[in-house]
Amino acid sequence: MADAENIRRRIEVRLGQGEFLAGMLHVAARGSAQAQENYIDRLCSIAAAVRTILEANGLIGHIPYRPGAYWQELKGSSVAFLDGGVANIDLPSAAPIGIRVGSYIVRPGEADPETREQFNIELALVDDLYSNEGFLYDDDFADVAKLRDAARIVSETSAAWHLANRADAPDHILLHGPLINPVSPYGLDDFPGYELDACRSFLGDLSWNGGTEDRQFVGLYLEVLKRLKASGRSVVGVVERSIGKDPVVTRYLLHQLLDQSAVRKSDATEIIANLALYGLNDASLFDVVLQEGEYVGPVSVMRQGPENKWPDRWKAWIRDYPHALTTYLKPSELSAPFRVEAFDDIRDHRRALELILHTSRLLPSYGFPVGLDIVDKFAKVPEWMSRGVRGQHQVVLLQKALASGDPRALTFAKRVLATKGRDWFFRPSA
Amino acid sequence: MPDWAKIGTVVGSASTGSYTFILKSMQAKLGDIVATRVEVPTASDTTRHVATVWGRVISIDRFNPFFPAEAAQELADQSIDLIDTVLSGSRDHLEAQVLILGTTFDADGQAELSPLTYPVKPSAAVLYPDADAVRQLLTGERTADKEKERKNPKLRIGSLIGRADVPVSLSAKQVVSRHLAILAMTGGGKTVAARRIIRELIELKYPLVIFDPHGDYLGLFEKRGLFTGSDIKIMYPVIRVWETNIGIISDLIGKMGRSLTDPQQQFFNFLINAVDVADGEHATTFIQRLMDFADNIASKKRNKDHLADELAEVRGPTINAVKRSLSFVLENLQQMERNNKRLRDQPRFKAYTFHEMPDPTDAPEEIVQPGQVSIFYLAGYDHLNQSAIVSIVLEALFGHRLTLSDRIPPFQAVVEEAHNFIPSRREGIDETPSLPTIRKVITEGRKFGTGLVLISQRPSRLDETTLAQCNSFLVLRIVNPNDKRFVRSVMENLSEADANILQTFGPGQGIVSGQAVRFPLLVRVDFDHELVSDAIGDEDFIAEAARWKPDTKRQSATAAVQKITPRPKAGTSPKPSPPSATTTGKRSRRIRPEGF
Repeated sequence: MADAENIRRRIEVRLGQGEFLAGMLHVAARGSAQAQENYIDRLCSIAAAVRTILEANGLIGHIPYRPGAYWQELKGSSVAFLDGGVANIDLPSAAPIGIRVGSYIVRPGEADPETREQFNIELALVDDLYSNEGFLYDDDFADVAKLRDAARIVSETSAAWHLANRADAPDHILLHGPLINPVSPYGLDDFPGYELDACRSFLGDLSWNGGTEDRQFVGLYLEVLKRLKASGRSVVGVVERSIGKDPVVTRYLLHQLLDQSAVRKSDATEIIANLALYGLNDASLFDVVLQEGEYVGPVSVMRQGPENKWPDRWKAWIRDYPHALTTYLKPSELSAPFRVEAFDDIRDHRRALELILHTSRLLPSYGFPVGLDIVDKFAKVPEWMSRGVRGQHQVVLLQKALASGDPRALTFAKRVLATKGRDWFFRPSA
Repeated sequence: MPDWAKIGTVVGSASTGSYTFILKSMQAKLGDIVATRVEVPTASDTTRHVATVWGRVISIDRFNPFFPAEAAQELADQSIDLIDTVLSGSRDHLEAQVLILGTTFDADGQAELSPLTYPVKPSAAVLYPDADAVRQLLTGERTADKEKERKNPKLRIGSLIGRADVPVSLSAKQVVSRHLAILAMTGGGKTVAARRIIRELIELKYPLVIFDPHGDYLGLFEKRGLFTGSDIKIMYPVIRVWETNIGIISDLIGKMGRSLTDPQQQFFNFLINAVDVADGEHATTFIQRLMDFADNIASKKRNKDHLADELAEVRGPTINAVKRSLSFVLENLQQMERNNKRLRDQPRFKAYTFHEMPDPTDAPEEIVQPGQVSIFYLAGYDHLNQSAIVSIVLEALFGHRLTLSDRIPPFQAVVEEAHNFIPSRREGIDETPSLPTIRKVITEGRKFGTGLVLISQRPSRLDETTLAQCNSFLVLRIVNPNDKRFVRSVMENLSEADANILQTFGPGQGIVSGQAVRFPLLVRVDFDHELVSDAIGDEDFIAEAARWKPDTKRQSATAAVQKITPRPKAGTSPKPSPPSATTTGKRSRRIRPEGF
């Protein structure tokens, strides 16, 4: 009963903050009259049901917040936080890419500031995606945003691998974002592969000689992930905001319970149907189900989506992708839960969650690991740098147009670069 | 080009008056002199010169973009140390603001400071000059030159705050001719600073006249052994009357006395005009003669003897009222003289020698001569009399300088508690005798070799017009907002950043600016420990109260009298008198003892 009251209270607080509005509209558009009328009650029932089932089956864990003792226990360990920053460059005629992955490695309890904290740029990548002499991709591609995304994903994972591969590798590595990303969107037919040198750089292996497919994003990313997993280090990805509609983790938990015959199929189906009806995803559901310091599962989730949506060419590769041991952790009553992903074989999952909880509680309102906030600020490409890169590309573009001798190319370049109609570029020629 | 340490990089917008730079951790402090180099165009179209741009750090902002405020709250709430967590405390950003002082051109081999005519370049390196370079900058001299120093002597006051290896000195010529104000709240170090400057002037054998209301400088006499070849004299004041200062005296008498009605004032004016002044006679003697003269007139009136026409209408009560007023003034003056004597006779002054103040009109050379420090000990006199004494002395001494009589050399006058001698009109004090005198000296003194050092812990109570005539200022700690505002209004080159740090100064720390220095500097005043008096220190009233014993003679006298008429002991009320023997209820008639 106490759980149900707490759930209702949490729902009402979130309603007051504007949450569940999308769900309410969703119900208003599609739901029955009864569903619309008793929205809060229904929400409470769903959440209470989920909590009852999970709790009964030991799928809700609790990490106590004990800062005084915990930080003393962590003395002597080292923790690395990783994040990537992407330059904000948008030009109509070029596709510059600027990525850097920063790390913040800290040794709690260490008195000497030099050895206590290290900030590094683990990887810095600047290239022109349209250029034939580019370092990164061996060809161009229409969807530049996908090229950048793919490059960012493999860069961040590569940086984690480099750290994990060091002799003095940190005891914990936390990535900002998912540990394992869906790869199907980047398995398109004409998606360019990476240059050999770029691959070797990502893998940290100058002797690597992978073939064409190995150098494609799907292949290369898999190789980096495998190496990272094989390192045996404690590596987790922490996802700040889960925006997907599909309650993936809830489904997986229910499937697991079905396999154990711990729940009826009809009950599991009804829960999933209600989640869909009320527009609840994992984050919003667990926000009201979980109490402070609680986490669900964890459960092993295959992150690549339904197999029928995989590109045929890459099905075998994608099947090889590791699963992510996934949970949602709610650090405090005030903050929403976030997703934490680890490899299936992580040695001490609970210890990792304890670290994440305690670092999140250092931001009591925001409720997210503070080390990731620090490295996010460190790695972020500042606007002045983006402007600089943008400016450089404009100069290169104009120089190339002038060198071509083609008046049409020059006119085009002028139009692209001019910001106003009346500009010295457009002075009438004789 | 000398190889100075690089301590930061210029960022953001730079102007010809200031710039900002990112400072490396622990490489500079507030008040430090820093330098950067910039190419500046010259009069010629083609050439450029490299200038060294000198500046002073006027503010440093420190922030850590990686340390969120809410984390700080959690650390405090949970009593956790930052270093035990994953929080970062090492990435401080230090942003320093620099006020540009001027430029020098190394190629010219000159130490002359010129205004910057072209902004500093963002991304330029900011350098920390060595002590020699800063010294040269402050003095304007490339190398130590004894001849130059002799022609342009300096008064060392201390060192740059945070740089004990860089001395700060004032131009002695500027101080003695263009006046100096020392302003600070109580405990800020004014007296220490004044003693420092006085000591330097003594070393130069420059004549000094110190007006000392509380005895802060009497210790100079005790330590006179440190000043070989100099003579330290303490003088106690005596108010004398001269024809030339009769106006001051009559004003003084008028202010000290009771307020007079118009007829009384008229009679008083008659007395002043009628009684001849014996030049140099003591004011008390003069007042007594006024009273005697008034008595004489009263007696003639009673006897209906012939009197001057203007006295025809004067009535007896008028004369008596004036006499009472004069008697009041006389008693007060005599009391003040006794106070001053009692103070001089204190045991702690037993080794001191006090001289009666020479007549400044007739014998000014006994007050002012090279190598002599004349300290006027004014304690025991009220403010009005102190002001009158200062006025009389300064007026006379300056008068000698004004007439170019060469009876006395140029001299420096030091006025402690200056707010009592040149009060602001806002104070609502009636015309203070010393105010017009000091105004005259401060305005014209420069031409006639009479300089002033004005010292005050309440700047906002000073006469603004007078203070603004000081061309140099040494401002130590000031907290009172009115005083800070006032100081900003009279000091032309006190920036807002400098004004904001006035309240943060420790004792002996301050800012010196004006013509006595090349530019405003943060200074730590040297403390002359050896000048601290052993005899005079802060009174320990707690110990004194513990030691105090009542006067046994008075006690025994009181005890004897009490035996005559027993009085109720303290804390008890007297017993009510028994009811009268009569039964009518009427009060019995009290019999008054004879003789009362």
